[in-house]
Amino acid sequence: MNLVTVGIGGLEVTGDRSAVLITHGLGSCIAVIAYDPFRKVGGMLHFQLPTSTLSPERARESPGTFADTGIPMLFERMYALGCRKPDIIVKAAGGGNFHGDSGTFDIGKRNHTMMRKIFWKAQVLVRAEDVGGSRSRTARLFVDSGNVTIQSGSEVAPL
Amino acid sequence: MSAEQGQGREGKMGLQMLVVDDSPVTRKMVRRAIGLCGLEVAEVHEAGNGAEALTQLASHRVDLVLADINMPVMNGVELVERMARDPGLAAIPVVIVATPMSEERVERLLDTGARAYLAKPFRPEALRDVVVQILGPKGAVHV
Amino acid sequence: MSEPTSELLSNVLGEVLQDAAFVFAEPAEDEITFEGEVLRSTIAFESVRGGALRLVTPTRVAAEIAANMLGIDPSDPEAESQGRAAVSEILNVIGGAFITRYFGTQVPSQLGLPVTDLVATPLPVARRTCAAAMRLESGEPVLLELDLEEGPAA
Repeated sequence: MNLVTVGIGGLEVTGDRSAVLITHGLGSCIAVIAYDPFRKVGGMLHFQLPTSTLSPERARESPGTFADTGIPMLFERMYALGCRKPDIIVKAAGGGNFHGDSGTFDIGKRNHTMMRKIFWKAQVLVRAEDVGGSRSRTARLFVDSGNVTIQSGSEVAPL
Repeated sequence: MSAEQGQGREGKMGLQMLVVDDSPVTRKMVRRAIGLCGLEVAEVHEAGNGAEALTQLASHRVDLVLADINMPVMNGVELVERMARDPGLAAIPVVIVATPMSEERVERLLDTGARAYLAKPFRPEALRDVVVQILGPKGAVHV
Repeated sequence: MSEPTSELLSNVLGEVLQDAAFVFAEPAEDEITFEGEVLRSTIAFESVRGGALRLVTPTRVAAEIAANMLGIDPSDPEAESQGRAAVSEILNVIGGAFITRYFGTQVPSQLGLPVTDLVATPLPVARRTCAAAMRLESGEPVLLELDLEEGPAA
């Protein structure tokens, strides 16, 4: 098993069937998990913020930080490995709210909204998601099977 | 699933849908969401109110109706009731896509014959789940 | 039943704009003003008390809302042509959200049909119970007003 860790603002795409993509500490951040079951290619993005508009330089240095730069890049990297959009299964986890925040301060919800906006425009449906609440999450994608698990505390559940 | 199911009177293969809403924006959104359901859809008809919907239903064999409630001329409640009373239309599943409302009204719609209720603003994933549950992954109507 | 507040309207408007149109809005910290022509949409309702809601948006904001709802670019000509319809539908959703939030889901309620017009500023003064003045991330203003009829005498 090849454990590939995706950090905050990170993005990994691989066709290595022994790989397990993993990202920890999903608070208000969201993990977007993409998988092509025909080509056995998996990708994972861990984005922190919804839009890069006010931070173009940071977006250039770390496009995975933002939904509007990270999600397109995730798909471009999948396409580069031969994947086609209709074949890609998308799942998501995270977007939590830990301080009872609302409005501007509910970054988790804003991240989720921006993700939904991008996918609606791209005509991509999310197959499954585990978002919101106030649990910190860890997401895993097993590239050989396409299985996704979400862990909160000691509880691990399939997504 | 009969050989006729999934074929409109025009003989087209694939499902025939009818979207009923007085908002052209919502009709386009529902149409777009239907296109993402993974079903073989031959045609999506549109109507701006319940009366127009009945006219469409008289001309096309429709496999699923998605209807708003609040519409001019004839609202969605009356449309559901009229369809339920018509032997030729009673078997067509109706999904209500409407703004949140009283529980009593939702129950009345479901009792009258609507198959499901989706609150606006609807998630395309939720619409997909409801439509696939009713029509099945390959478009067979599930009773 | 307590009287409705600007905070309630802000919450409803902010949530509907985000959930239905993917637009982020915050309560305005300063007074908002509209310039040129704006879209003003009105929807009546009946419940324990009757009344009306009014939504005012610049046309550019309406086009952005339409674009997001339709999943197209804001520069697409259809975004501008569907702006009025988009604002009408947003107010329709706001109406339902307000009714269920303020009156609850256990009472029969009726929502009218939204009527949206292009009007020149300054806007005529209209009776209102309370209002929510908000700004989008772009800084553009949006206004939601509630005109609630008096309740039955005690």
